[in-house]
Amino acid sequence: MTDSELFEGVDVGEFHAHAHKHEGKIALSLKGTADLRAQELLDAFLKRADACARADSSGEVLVDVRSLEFMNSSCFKAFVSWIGRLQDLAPESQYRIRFLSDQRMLWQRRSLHALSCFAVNLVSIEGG
Amino acid sequence: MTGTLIGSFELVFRPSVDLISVVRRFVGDFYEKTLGSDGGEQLALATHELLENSVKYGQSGETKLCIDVYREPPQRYIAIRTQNEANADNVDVVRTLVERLKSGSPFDFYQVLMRESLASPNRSGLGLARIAAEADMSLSYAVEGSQLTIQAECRLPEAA
Repeated sequence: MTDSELFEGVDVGEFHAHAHKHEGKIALSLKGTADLRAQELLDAFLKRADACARADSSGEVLVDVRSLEFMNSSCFKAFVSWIGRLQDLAPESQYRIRFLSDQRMLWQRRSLHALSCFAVNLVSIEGG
Repeated sequence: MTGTLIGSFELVFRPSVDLISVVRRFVGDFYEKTLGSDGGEQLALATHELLENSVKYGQSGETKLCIDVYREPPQRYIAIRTQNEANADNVDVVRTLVERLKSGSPFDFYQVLMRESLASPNRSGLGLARIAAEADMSLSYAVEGSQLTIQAECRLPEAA
């Protein structure tokens, strides 16, 4: 873990996830390939992100997946679980999740759209 | 099948977690060569999810992967199959999932499964549902003895 990291990241197989502050907000950066090798560690990483966001007052977490080549359904489920925990919070304690995406990648267009439909008021997608 | 077979391969192997991503990239290139640039990503996604399904729930570890691409002007027909040994419980899970998928919109069912997955820490079915909802492919299955075959198929317009 480097000095600039907010909490412990993930480096496993071809997958890398790290958390920083960006313009006062919690920013998660995901790179590589998120497959079965990364599933448990990603789940734990997103739980740490959730705990950090609950203690933070910025009201939003940025998730940059532009360099994430592929994410399998098990890792996708880790995001569904994170959003489910967020939906269980009282409205005044909830925060938003904003994905930064590369819309040229099919999985990003489709999977992130599914997540945004799952939690319309909590998830937004930006993509070029 | 009335079309012309323009690409086909079979791979029998013991897929490991490491190997699946290798195969996904390989079949992505295969699809690009046989289909042009359109469709390769969605078919690679489907192949990846089918193989992970075999790794997680297959009984013997050995999986056969078959991919056929037919030319049916003005379309291409693509079928991806995985075959592996499966126990009765796994067959039941697949049967139920495929039947639920056929009963309505794959995307709506995907949303329902996402909600259900919050209460089931183990098997969610999201991988197979994703093939229908995100890769726009139809799913079917067949059982012969202890062998379970899952097929994903679709038709894509021919590349210009």
